[in-house]
Amino acid sequence: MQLGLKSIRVSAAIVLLAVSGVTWAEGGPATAPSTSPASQPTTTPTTAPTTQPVVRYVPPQVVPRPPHSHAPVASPNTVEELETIQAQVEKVVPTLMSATVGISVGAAQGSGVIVSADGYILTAGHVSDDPNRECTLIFPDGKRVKGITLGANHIVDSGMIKITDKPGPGGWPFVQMGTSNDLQLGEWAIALGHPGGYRVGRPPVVRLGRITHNVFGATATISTDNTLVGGDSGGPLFDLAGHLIGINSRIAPSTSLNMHVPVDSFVAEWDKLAHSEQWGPKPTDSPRFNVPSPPKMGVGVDELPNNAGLKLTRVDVGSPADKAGLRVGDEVFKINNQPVRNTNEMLQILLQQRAGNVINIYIRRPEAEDQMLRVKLAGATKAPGQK
Amino acid sequence: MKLSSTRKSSAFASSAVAVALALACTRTLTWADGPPATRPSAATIAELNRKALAATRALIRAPKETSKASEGVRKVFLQVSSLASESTVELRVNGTIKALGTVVEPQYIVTKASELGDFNKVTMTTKSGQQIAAKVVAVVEDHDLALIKVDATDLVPIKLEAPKDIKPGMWVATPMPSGSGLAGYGVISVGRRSTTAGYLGVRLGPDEAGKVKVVSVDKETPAGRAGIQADDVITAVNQVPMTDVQQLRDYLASQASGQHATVMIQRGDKSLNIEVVLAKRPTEESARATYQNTMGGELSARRMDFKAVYQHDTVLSPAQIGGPIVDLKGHVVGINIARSGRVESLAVPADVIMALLPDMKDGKFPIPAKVVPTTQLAATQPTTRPGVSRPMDNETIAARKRQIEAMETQAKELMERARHERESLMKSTGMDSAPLVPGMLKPTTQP
Repeated sequence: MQLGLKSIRVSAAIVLLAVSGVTWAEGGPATAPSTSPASQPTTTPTTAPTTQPVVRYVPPQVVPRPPHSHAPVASPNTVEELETIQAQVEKVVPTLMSATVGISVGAAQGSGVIVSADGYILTAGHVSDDPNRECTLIFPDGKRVKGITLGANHIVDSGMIKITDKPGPGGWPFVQMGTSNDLQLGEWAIALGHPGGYRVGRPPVVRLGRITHNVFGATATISTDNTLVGGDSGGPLFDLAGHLIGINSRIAPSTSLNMHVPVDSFVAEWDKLAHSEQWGPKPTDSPRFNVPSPPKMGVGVDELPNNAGLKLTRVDVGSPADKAGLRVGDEVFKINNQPVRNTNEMLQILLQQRAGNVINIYIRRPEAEDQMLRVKLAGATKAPGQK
Repeated sequence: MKLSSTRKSSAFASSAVAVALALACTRTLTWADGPPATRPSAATIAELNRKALAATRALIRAPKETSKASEGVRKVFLQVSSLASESTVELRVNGTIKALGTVVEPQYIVTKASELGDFNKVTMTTKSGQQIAAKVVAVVEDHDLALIKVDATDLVPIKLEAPKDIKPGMWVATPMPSGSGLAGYGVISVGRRSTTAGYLGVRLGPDEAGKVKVVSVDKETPAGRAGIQADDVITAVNQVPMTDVQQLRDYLASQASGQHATVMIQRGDKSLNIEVVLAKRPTEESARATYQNTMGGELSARRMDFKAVYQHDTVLSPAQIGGPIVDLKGHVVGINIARSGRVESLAVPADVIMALLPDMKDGKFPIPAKVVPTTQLAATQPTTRPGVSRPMDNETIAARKRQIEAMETQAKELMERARHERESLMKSTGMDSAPLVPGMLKPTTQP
């Protein structure tokens, strides 16, 4: 796809980390955030002459960081120092995992972390996306609970979800929130998440790295060399004490450049997020996410070397291609007298067509003469959950 | 977010904001709460975009001393893995470096089988740099392990240790052959598990009622061969009711390839039981997942379907697979078996290999006649579908690497300049480094 290719060329571009990425599903009941101890809303009368009291949500208490010099943390250079780090990571990780969840919302999958006993979950804005949608939260042991998406700040990519199922006595497992504005460069950090989405039998995946940048302001970002990939989005980043300092968000080509939303952004905007407000430009507002779908043939293709055409790698049963007699391994080199040298050229041709049109597709098949088959195109199928 | 907020910022802060702008919206400069009353001029926007781009470049390379790859840490791991590096060898096929190998006994080397490709043309590089013939004597398909025999007398075997509790967070280092440094290091990400899974060959989506609807069926897969059709609703597998898509995915993941399964489907008003034989999951993900996973380097051709593995976060290349991983004590706790994603490398536990070794030597695992494909990016490329980004070829990757290198050089310069600006700013204002944060909550002010 032309625009898809463009996205590859932007090599330094930041890639969002939800698994099936863009989902537009809407619906689900608009449930008001419930109130319970850890995140008690306070009711204050407004000065304006209105009967509606203003509910203000406040974040759970954060654990302040011990005072430090603000100088970059020195690199360990002995086995003993590395052993100390290892012992600390091994010690805190089991507790941190128990509050780390997989998130399934619409067709997208990501990660998140519970920060209060009553089930407030911090995640990435592009995971929770539109407010008031039903979602499923998956615990490391496979247990599933229901939740609802709350607000999202798409500028920094922060998002919030609330578990709607009732917890057992003692509430949901949760982690302590720390602070992020005072992170030191070189400080060690633990990232958890579900790369590729939640997988049965695989607990949240541990990555260890260091804080390499801490950018402040309205579009604050932490970067680390904790490697992340699609599905990690919304997963937590902790300091070695096990306090939440950030939420996984996006990556650049280098494995040592991974971006996280600072936890301070959540604290500062807690009330808005808990009130299901959504603001800032969504990544999905970008034109490259809004590509028209060509009519469907029902094939998968690989490009042949040297612009020699396309090889079919998949033919869907009962699809227009199947009905026309196309087979896996066929090499397409021409459609309707226009040469097809690569994916882009095929898409350009298909985008000019509409469902119901018949196209002439020219193929090469091993040990056979080149031949022309006629394919009657079907309507574009939308991914499940797409608007 | 208002652009005007950048005006009052200091030189350093403005570059910080520009970085953040670049990170938040690499797409275009946009306003959260509508465009401001007075629109900044095109020149201002262009200038900000330029700064944002420059700052993004500056982020490409972190300052070395505060990164995981710092010199100090590297030296420690070089030291703890020095013994294992004596037992690490380089393996070539037709002269091309394909894998590392671990010397487990005199004359015997364990490595990753599928990476070799042609079992008849394997050579080992000796300490003096010569190539000597290496004979593949056993292949264990479940683990993708090969045992190789060489007629060399100077090979130093290393003991495979088998600690009982390998927990996430434990450091592991991957040495290169002695004198060639370190391939990398990281921590255990996931404890021992199996990555085998059953494969059906359908694309699934929830129908209006949230049930498991077949969106499309791939030909030449178990589902395609058994006659499952698009729009069928899968209601149960092996009498286990399937109520949503995730549940079916999880169930299949818990099954092994080669197993028989009865799939109950609803087709229109008919209910059918369809018998299938689950296949091996092909090494193919969505183009998007592959694109992200190859951000950071090539992957092994076979990277799934292992019977027992540790997962760790060391960044390795496919040719650095096959050698040992060691803990902080220098004990060999496993042998790398796959580079399987941007965040994951896999290793077969040491005790698994120790248990297999006698049978491998005894000829109980004959080498298969079929030659397994090696890692070429073409082989790992998934199906390209319309509307989905195209996976990269080797040339694109090489071009990107060059691009990143160039950016890194620029980045160093930019970082240096930023530091300079910051220092002079602090001098002129007498500011401490901490409160450079505009409008950010400090712990003391938090509720």
